[in-house]
Amino acid sequence: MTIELPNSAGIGFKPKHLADLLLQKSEVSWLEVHPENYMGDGGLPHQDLLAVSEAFPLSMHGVGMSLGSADGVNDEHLERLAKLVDAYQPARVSEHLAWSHWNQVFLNDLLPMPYTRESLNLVAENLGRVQDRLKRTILVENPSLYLSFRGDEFSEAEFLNELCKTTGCGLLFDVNNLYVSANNTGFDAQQYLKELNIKNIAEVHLAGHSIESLPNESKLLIDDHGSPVRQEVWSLYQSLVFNLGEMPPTLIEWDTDTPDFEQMDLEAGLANQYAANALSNKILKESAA
Amino acid sequence: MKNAAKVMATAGAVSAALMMAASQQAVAQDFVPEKCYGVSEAGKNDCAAGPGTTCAGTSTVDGQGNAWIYVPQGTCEKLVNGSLSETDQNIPS
Amino acid sequence: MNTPLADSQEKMAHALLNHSNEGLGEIFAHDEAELQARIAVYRNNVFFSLSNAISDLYPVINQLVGEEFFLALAKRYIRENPPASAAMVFFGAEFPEFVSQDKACLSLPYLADVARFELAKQHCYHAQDAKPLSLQIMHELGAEKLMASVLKLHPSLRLVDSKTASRSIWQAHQIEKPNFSEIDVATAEQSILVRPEFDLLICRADAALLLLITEIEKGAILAEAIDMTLEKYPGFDLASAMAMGFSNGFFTDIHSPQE
Repeated sequence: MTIELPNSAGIGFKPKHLADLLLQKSEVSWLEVHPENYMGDGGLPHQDLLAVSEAFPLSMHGVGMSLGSADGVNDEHLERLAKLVDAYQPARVSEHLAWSHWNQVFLNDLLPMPYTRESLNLVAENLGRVQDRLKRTILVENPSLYLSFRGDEFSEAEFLNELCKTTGCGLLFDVNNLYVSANNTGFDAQQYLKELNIKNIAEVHLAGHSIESLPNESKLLIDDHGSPVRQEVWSLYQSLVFNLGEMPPTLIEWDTDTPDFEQMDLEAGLANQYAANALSNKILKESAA
Repeated sequence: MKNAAKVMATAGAVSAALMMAASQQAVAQDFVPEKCYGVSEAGKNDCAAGPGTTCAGTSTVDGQGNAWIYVPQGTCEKLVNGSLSETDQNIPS
Repeated sequence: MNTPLADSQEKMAHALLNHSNEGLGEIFAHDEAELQARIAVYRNNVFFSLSNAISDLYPVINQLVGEEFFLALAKRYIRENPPASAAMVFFGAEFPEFVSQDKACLSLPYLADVARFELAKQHCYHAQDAKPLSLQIMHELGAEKLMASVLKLHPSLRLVDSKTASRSIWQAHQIEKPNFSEIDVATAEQSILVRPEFDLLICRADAALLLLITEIEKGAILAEAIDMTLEKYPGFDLASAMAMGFSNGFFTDIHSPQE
């Protein structure tokens, strides 16, 4: 039995919010977890996950599959993921367009890859193995970038369009990552959204970022998930919802200095609100036309 | 060769252990466990960039961990014999 | 021969772990100063997240040596033992051995023991769940049948055998204002950690009880395990030790010895 993710706001699950989530009525209607945090054999983590999975639709958002690794995905890791997916039957499984391991060393960060034909073939192959093993399609998330490659053959939007077409995967579209990458690697976010086949989007992420400066004084944005969603990101989100014509399942990520549940609830409420506003604007515009 | 009296004594002790366990009777002080209440820990995997990055290269946690110059400066100083002098360093750990 | 992508990943992995930006200029479209600043973000992510994982796993070691020393220690560890698995729950298992070999830690011989204690706690916390054998079943069997049986240990049970006061040092760091003066670091301590349900129990043990449990773990019939223990430690308080085991879920199953 697989429940769909609802077209409303969710948050990343933190154990410290467990009681609030189970006892309070809130703006939060689904939860996301990183499967890597449940790869131990038993104990409280599994007890908590069982409790929330009975109360909320669940999304499993991997951070360790390393779909972009030139040395392939790790079988042991894939088996562990498959076991969790089997046990908890999440509504959605997702991963990142990134690589993390090289030659048996796992670097525990989402590292960037060039947008080339070679990368596309490789990610498609790795992704195919994951989807075959899990017997379901998964969602792939656009990265936040701090570096630009020489010799890209595609724009990121083209790359993602192609990847979805060849593998049947969907998109987990992170609007904050789009904003961060556009600034950091110098492309236009609105243009990107025009190029991207937004029909592939099945889930959206929103988060806060911090601002640093480069030696040449220009800004470098850091995707640290440590603050409220910024206004510029809400605006991009609204134009995305406007174009989609419905609110996608939308996750608030807050992983650094995660606040208490009240503030998470507030952010989730904002997502529901911004999406509703974007949709009523659309209706107004269409009836005026 | 097993001595019958010894076997009896051992069985008696196991029997007593069962009684003690069942009656929640206080066992010798040495064997009372301390409960470490289950606190659910936040997972260690996440997908956020770490804080503390500064592009000026003064990042608090970069890779330059080759400093042997640091001296332990935590609670070990409060332990009696917590930090051994040079000559005591052969004590097995 | 590496493909271009494999080649770039090898170079970047090397650059991140070894603090050198060699070979990155041809991969990334930035001048040197900017490349330095941008790659620092990724390098910070790698070392920040991994040293955090080590610090979460070994909080008492962190307190014992202080933040600055711990961070330097963690960085050396990360370079020598980078994680092989993506799940951080498996990372840091070689840290106690690393600490026992580390030059800078030589003056703190109990450090590796406390690290082993913290690692045992982590393993106990994440072990497979299992229902302890009920007292009623053991009662119905009676002492004699129990003696002739093989007991199965709880999957979360871990033994910590230290030549130093690892448990006392660990416990002293769990309270607000610990009295460190009562600890004699040179006292050998044995502990048994077990999680019959969701609370983790930390049991004081002695060398005799550790031997008994080790024999049971090897599959010895209870009577044999007891004999062996009493032979070596005639003063062993068998009744109290077994009572602790019975009432704290040390055992999950019982079966007759296989012929």
